Amino acid sequence: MTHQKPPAFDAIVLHDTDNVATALHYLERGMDVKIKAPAGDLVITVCDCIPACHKFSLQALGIGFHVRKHGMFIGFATTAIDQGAHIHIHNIIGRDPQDR
Amino acid sequence: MIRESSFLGFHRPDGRVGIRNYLLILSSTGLTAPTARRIGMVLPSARVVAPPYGSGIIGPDEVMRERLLLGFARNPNVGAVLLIGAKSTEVGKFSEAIRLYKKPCESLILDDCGNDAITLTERGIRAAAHLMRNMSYQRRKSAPVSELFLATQCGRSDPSSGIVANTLIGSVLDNIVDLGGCAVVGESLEWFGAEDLLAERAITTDVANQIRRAVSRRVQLATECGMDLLGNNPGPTNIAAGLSTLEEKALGAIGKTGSRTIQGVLDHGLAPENAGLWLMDQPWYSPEALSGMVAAGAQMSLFSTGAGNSFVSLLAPTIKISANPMTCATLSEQIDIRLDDVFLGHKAPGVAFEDLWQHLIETASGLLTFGEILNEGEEVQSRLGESL
Repeated sequence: MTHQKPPAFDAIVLHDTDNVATALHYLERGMDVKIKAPAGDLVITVCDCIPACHKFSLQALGIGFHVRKHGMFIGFATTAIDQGAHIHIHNIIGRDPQDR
Repeated sequence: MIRESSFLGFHRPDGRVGIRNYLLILSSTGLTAPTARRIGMVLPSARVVAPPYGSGIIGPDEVMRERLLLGFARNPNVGAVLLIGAKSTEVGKFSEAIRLYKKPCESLILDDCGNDAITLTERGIRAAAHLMRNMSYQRRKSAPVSELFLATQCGRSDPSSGIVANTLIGSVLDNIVDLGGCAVVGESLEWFGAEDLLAERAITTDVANQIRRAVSRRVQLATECGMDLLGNNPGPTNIAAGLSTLEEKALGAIGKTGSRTIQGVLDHGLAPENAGLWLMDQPWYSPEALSGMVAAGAQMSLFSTGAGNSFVSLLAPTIKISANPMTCATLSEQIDIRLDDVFLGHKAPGVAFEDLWQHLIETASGLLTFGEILNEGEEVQSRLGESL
């Protein structure tokens, strides 16, 4: 095994119009997370446990709000989502492929 | 991003430039496939392509077979071809086509050997030995990167592929296209969910429609066979890895395409008419997908993986790229380019791009990939339907 330095950040935002960040490693609930973002680095407290590579919200989102990653739409919020909450299939949904 | 740069390659009589100088032992029929492999055992540095099919292939399948087998022979990494087959009609047709590419080619037919595979083996070894010695007179000479044609692939992806590895491959493709080279992105079903974004970059509305049609046709193929593609995509593995929607998964996959104009949608294995960025409508499975791009003329492949994937092309050196820290640490004889430093924020993507570009030029000039060193690799003939 090669020695690895600890990550410089805990999470990353890919695009300046994104409203989610991606965890670079497992994040404990209540942790102050250091986030690397195009518009400037920030710190957010996560209110869920976030597995590595999973997403969390950078801001509070209402039902039907667009969730954005890679600078693009990736789904609609299906419930109200708090800042720092885990974002996954329990609270977002993509467009119905039949409606494309 | 990067100005002009050049590599050292093998200049072929048809004007193309190879990054390797392989003797290809090509069996045009399944009957002679074991003989092709036997000859290859005596000349281990030769590349053997020997699909198990032959007689009774009809219609679009026959067209595809010729395109792929002749495409492998035409690939600029091939310096000469030993062609073997069972029947003179077929071998004659193939060898004539290969000679039109101005490629040295010797052909041998099982019929002419009294149907004796041992005689065919012996004659094959002797012919291959001469081809290989003549090939070795060739030396690498400087060539502009505009002579490069890159294939791309992702296999066993995770979010690190979409976030880092595919994005950097996209930057390399932008650069190669800007310098007058060629690149292709395939696996058409992987575009599903982001096809509108690709269609917006098409050179004409015709091409935009081809992109959408390619995706909807594959989706229809899957649904007709009872696959619940719409309800089960992303799949359980993707979801566990953190991908939530089809849009998110597709955005990661199409990162490989970079940002340049899409020249057209190629059929599986079909060579592009001009340089630039192309899509290929083809199967998503790595062995089939890479073979299609190599038959189209790609000399090198950029292959991103999350969890690890050992498959490489036989004829086009394949640079394996991963940004997953665990994969980079544990698969150090599989991953040619580690991007875990970028994923963890220790290295700027711009610096990683320069490193990746340099590695690509070195590989074009002869630096070995782990796939070559470990003798991975295969080229396969895709099938479309039943044989007679």
